[in-house]
This record gives sequence, structure tokens and C-alpha cells, in this order.
Amino acid sequence: MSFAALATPEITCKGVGKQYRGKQVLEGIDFAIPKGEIVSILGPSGCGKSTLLKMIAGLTSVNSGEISVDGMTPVNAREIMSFIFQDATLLPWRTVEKNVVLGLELERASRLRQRQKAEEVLALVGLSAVAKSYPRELSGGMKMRVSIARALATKPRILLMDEPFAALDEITRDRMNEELMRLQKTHSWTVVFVTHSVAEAVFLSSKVVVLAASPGRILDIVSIGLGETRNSDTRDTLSFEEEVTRVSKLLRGAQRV
Amino acid sequence: MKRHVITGLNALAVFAALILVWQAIVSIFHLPQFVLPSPSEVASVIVSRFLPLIHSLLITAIAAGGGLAMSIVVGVAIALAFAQSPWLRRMFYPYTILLQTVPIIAIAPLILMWVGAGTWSVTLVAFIICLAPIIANTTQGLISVEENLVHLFLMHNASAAQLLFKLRLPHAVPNLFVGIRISAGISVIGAITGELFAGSSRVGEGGLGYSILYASSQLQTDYLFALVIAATVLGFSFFFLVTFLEWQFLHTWHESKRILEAL
Repeated sequence: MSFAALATPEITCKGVGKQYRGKQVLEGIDFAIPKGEIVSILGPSGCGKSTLLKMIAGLTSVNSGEISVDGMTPVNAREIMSFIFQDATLLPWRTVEKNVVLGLELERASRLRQRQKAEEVLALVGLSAVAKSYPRELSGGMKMRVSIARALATKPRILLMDEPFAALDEITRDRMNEELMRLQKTHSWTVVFVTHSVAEAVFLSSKVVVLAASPGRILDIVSIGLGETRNSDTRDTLSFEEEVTRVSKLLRGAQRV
Repeated sequence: MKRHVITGLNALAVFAALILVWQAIVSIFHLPQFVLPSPSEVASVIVSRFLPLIHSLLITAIAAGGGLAMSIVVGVAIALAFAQSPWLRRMFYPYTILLQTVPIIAIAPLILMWVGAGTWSVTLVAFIICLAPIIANTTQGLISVEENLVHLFLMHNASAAQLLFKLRLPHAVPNLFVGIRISAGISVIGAITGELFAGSSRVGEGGLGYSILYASSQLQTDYLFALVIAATVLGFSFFFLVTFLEWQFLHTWHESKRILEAL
């Protein structure tokens, strides 16, 4: 973590809590995410990790504490954020190309810019060939790529990803992780990545926020010491194994509580 | 393809068998024409009175089609209002069910009284009978949008109009077509029912419902059969037209591409 990154956290949560139907879902969530880093939120199901992400996106209200994104409230910061959902959430009546430019269209960008941007982001995720196809003609992995392309089309600085690869097979998932890693390096996005996969969290993140369930609270924030450049070989290294074991143990502890 | 031909041939064989049984019953029991005309007599009356038959069919088609079209416009508008406000929905939705359960045959005389005999009152009866399925299905489609899709739109600060016209309405199109398909069938029933009461403002001229009444009062049972066949043909044509339109609109993206094959 560089000094500059320390000085400018992009996203901060201060004492964030959430009640839902009289039940405490999240409690005392405190963390800061530095600019240009990937931070994962990891935890057992029902720990409120998706809720936390939706709070950062301003899609769910915060009951106590405060979240700020680039010094703004989440709702005001939406323009610099993109949300990527667990399912691809494509509009089935639109072609791939038309799905990708949805955000631009809603922001009333010109047709020309929409077309150019669609070409650009589809090339980025390697899907230029299926621009005119409909979602139902695509595989699960391809749909997810379209979803990512759509998120990138509005030029976000922050990506909020809610278990985006959970529905994919392991090989596709690993490859998507590597691609995300590569794209993040070139564009230096800030990424908040929710997952229940320890290996995925360790592979992608500079830090992993481990949550415990009922009520959802931070168990530990683990810095992952795998260096800046990671690729498919990283998974075969001993230090990767060690990090996975370390986080897994923490998580098992979380489930026992 | 071959399978379709065989299915078609089977259906045709059943039809031929029915005609033969019908002809046999008439011949064996020496039934008089006003009780049960033979298939050949029905066929010949279809030919000899083809023009008045088609004329009646067109009058009914216009009333049924008009009622259906009106119900689509009004039904979608009401559904859009329902989708915008749960409050409005809770207040008025029970009445759309009422609309569906009230017997149309009881309303038809009232409408005749209020609107007067003729095409307008018949169209209105068809409209009333068509409205509920359109409202119910379209509303269902508009409000059953996944939460994540709504969130996606909210992330782009979409306006209420954008949410409605770029997300909810296109999402509801398949449901709308389910409604239209149901209504298309009953629109013909509605129009004919209307015509039984308010079929004509001139004596001797009217749609299928009016002609059915007239033919039965004159014991023209062969023509009555011809009219029933015409009504069936009309109902079928409406159904096929809607199914074709549905395919046109949806086949590129929706799983209901298989509608035509399922028939």
C-alpha cells in the first residue's frame, strides 16, 4: 500500500450498521478502501456482505454510521460507480450491443458515442463477434462478460461486484479472475468484490475483509502478501496456498461463532 | 417438418370421420333439415348465401377487433397506472376481477339500453369482456421485474419514465401477448353476445349474433350451422393473427419462439 493510497481512501465505512425487520444485519462496520485497489468482502452466507455492497452503491439505506464514496454520499457518487450483479442482469429483448450501451443511453449520450463505446468495450472483453446476438444465444460466461462490458461503458472509477462469477464453472471463473486482474491493472479501478470463495478473494485482493454472521460484523481485515502482478501461475505458488489456508481458518472460526 | 405433416393429416382424418358420422346419422334416422341438416346441405347453403354470410362475419369481426383494440389501449394504460402506484393497485385491482366475473350476458341488455342498438354497443360489449385479461397480465409483467434490474437502472440514475418505458414495459410485452391471446378468443364471443341483444339497427342486416337469432327464428337450421362455422373460423383467425404477431415481436429474444411449433 503506497502512501498516496493511504492518504486518499476512495470508500470509507464508519461504524456502519443495518437493521432489517427488527434484526441487526450488520454492526460496527469500519474499513477504508484505498484508490486503485481490489478489496474483497468475504463471509458465510447470511453475513450481510451483499447488503453491505448495496449500501455502498446507495441502493439500500444505512441505519447507523456513515459511508462515503470519494467524499460524497453513495447516491451522489453513482456516476463514478458501476455495479456488477451475481447474475448477468442483461435485458433479454436487447442485443449484446444494445445491452452494453444501456448506461450511456440512460445518460442520454449520443448515438455515435454509444456505438463507439460499444465497439471499444466489447473488444476489451473479447466479444466483438457477438455484438448483434441476443443474450439467450450466449453461454453463462459470455453473458457475464457482456455484463462487465456494460459496467465499463460508462467509464466508472469504482466497480462494485456482487459474487459476479459465482454461477460459472471453475475454469471459466479462474479465467475471468485473471482478466479482471489484467483490466484492473491497466485502468486502476477501485474494486469492491463480494465473494464466498476464499481462493477467489485471495487471488484478486490486496485486502480481504472477513465478516462473521448474525449480526454481520468484521472479524478481521487480512492483507494479502502476493505482490502486484498475479496471473494463473500465482495459484500454484506456496504463498498462495498459505494465504488461502490462513483466510480459510479465519472463516471457519467465523462460522463457529 | 415431416412430423407436422403427419399431425396435420391426422387432424384432417378426424375431421373427415366426423363429417361422415354426421352424414350417416342424418341419413339413417331420416332427420328433417330443421333439426339437423346434413353436411352437404350446410356446404351448399354456405355457397348459396356466401355474400350475406361474409357480410355478417365482417360486421362481427369489426366489432370484435375494435373491442379488442380498445381493450389493449385502455388495458395497457390502466396497467401502467397500476405499476406506478401500489396504492392505486390495491384500491382498484379488485374491480378488474369483478369485471371478469360479472356475466357479460347480464350486462349486454344494459349497454343496449344506454348506448342504443348497433355496432357501438356491440364493440363496447366486446371491449368489456376483453379488458380484464389485458389488465391482469400486463400488470403482472410490469411489476414482476427482478429487483436487480431495477437496481441496475437506479445505478445509472434512471428517471421514472426511463424505468417504465425502457425496463417495465418491454419486460411486460410477453405477458401482454398472453392477455391479448386470451382476449382475442373471447372478443368474438363478446361481440356475438352483444349482437344477440343489440346486433342491428336495421332489420335483416347484422353480424353473426344477430343472424344466428334471425336464422333460428326462421328455422333455417342449415344457415345456422353455416353461421356457427363462420364464428368458429373468425375466432380461429383472431387467434392465429395474434399468435403470428406475438411471434413477430418475440421470436428474436424470447423463449416463446416455439409457440408456432407447440400448436
